[in-house]
Amino acid sequence: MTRPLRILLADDHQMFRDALRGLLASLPNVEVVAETDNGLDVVELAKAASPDIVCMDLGLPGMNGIEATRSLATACPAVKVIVVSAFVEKRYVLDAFDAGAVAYVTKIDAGNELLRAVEAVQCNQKYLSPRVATLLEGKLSEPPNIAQLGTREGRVLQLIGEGHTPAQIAELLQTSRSTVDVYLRNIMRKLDLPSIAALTRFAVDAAASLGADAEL
Amino acid sequence: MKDVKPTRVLVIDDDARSRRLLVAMVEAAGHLALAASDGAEALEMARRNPPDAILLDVLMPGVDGYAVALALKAYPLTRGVPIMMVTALSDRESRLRGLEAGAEEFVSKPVDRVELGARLRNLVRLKRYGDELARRTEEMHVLLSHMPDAVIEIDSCSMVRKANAAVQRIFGYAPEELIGGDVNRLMPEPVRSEHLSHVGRYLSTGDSDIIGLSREVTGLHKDGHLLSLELRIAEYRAHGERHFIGILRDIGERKRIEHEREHGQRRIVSLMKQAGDCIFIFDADNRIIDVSDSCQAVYGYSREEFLAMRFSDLCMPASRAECEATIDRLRVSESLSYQLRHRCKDGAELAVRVGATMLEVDQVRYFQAIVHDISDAERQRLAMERHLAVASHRLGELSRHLVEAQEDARRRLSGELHDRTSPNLAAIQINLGILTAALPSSVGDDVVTRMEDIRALIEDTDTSIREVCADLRSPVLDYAGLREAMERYAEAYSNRSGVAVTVDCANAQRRLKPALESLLFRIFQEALTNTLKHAKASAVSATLDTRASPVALTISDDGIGFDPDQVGAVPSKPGMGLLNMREMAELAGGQMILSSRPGRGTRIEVRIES
Repeated sequence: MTRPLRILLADDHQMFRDALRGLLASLPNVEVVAETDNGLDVVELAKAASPDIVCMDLGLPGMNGIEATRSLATACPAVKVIVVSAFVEKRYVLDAFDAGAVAYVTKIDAGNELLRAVEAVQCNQKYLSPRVATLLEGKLSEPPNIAQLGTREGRVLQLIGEGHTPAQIAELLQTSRSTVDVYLRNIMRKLDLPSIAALTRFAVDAAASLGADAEL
Repeated sequence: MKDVKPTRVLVIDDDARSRRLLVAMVEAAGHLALAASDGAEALEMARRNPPDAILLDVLMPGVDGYAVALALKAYPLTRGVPIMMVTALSDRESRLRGLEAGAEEFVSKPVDRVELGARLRNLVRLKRYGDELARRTEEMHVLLSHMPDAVIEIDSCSMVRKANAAVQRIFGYAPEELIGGDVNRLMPEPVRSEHLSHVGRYLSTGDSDIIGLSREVTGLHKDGHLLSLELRIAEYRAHGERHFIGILRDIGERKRIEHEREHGQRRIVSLMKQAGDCIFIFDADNRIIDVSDSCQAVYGYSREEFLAMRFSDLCMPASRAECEATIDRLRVSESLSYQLRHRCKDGAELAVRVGATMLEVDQVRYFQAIVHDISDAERQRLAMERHLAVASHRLGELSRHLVEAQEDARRRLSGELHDRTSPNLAAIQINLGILTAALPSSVGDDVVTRMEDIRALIEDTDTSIREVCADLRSPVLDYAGLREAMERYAEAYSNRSGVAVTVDCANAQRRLKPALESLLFRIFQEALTNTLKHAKASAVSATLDTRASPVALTISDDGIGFDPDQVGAVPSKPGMGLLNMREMAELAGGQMILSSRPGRGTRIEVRIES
């Protein structure tokens, strides 16, 4: 059995840190070796605990996450930094990578994305969660990728494509009308569709191509 | 005076021999002789061109000498021509007839040449005197009838003998109405009685205080109103009788003018005594010659002190030259009004408004200045200005405070959302994921879809919080500066609206004071929001120049534009919280220049000292 993956958590928000610890605990062979709520302690802790990965918040008191990452890159160059931040801002992403980070995950998506990032950095790859990737690439030149949609989101998109109204969809999915609206907004954001009209057109096209695939 | 025109003498005789003889004698006496051979011819010639004298033979066939004489004396043009009748005899009878017919002189046949010459000379002289008298009489008549003064001649019984045309204008009576009547109808009582006693005394004693002198009297007009008259009396005697000539001049108008002048003077005196404003009269050399009573109260100088001063001495010493120059201008402009500062005797300063006028009396120039003390008004104005400045300063302070408080609230709210709410949601989301993964497979689809609904809700809420945060306070602004914040905002704005936004920054590395950066960012945001709301633009271009102070931010669009003059008509919505872009810029000590025209887009330029 390989040595467990050693992780250091740097975040001033205790509940979030607890959630992350819980999340990481679900992975086999992963150990959270140290935690801190302060940017200034990161380097000392890393020297003492020798983590493989540091999950780094950016808005840390004392020293911000980007500066802490820079110091860490100098002090412990082998440690890989995954930024886990609420900020979805290009400047932060660029500066974080410039300082030495190898992955950037938005906090709200951390449930799935942190695990992917951990896997990626273990293979010496860099990783950006989809929201961040979109931010850096601007509008995607490729057609929107429906693979990033969740099960329910995919189902809502399909029903739209089949010509159902949001009210009908709410009934079919046994949920409230406002929840359907929430799904619609989430889909529009993930697929970078600017309006309900664009969403409808995309859904109709997707339904047609799915139908065509099914016939093949 | 030698007569250049020779005397023309008409000789009338039916006998040719006798006629030639008379013509020769007339010519020998130095006259020019004309000849007629009968009465009819003679009358014709005399009427056409009246001669100076006529030599008329009495005995003629047809129209005889008497008939010719009668006809000549009856005709106006020839009436004055003297006639010398030539009678055959020196009989009394024919001479009497000749006199009755109008002849002035006689000579008997045979005519003596010397006697004829002498009589003819007398006759011509008589004619000359007659002509002269008639001329003078006419002249006198014309003079009297055109005189503006009434001329009335009375005798010692006060009866009017003559009156000229002017009596009608002055007294209302025609001259004919007065002549023959008593002059006292032109006098009211008690003048009438006095007149009688005057005349009586003068006639008995010869004492007179009126002959040759002029005096004012009261007359009575025909319609009963009284007249102011100036009377002069002259006296002459003729044929033992005494005649008095009164010359009367209507002086009513002159009296009225004198009265008004007197009244005006009284008014001026009372004005000078009672006027609230100070009135100064000074001469062309600036020397004060009169002051109103209030001048003494206001300035503290006595009247005597004033009269020893120049008007310009009242000015503050520093402005004396200016004051004199102003008074000089008065010589040209006649009247002007100006404000300046005067000094009282005790050294106190007065703010005054001077209204000055030039007066010209008998070709001497005077100046009148009415000085109104406006010190109180000026003090009030200054106090008002000070209050206003303080209020305006306080308002500025309050507004700045408001802006700061607003910015602070935005920062705190956004910090709270960012540092607490957003991570809370993220923690919930992760825990939910853990829970979902931990659910036993026996759990129904129902629970799984509910869990997915919850995750979708959390994700949507997180997005909404992120948007609110970005609007409240750009985290990038603090972290990376104005340029970065503008670029990020522009990107998000373009994605949201489809309007292309370019951001150009000169010397982007230079960081400004945080308050200025957030102010400029707010203006940038507001401009873009307005563009989206109103401009129907397809592209917006923003440039930021921080190389020098003032910093310049320009935002221009290619939209529909508007007429800036119409902006004030519609109250602008409180865009950026409570203050609009212009107020923001001005509060920061800068300025905003807005330029737009319908169809030509809108350009906003903000300049603020860094």
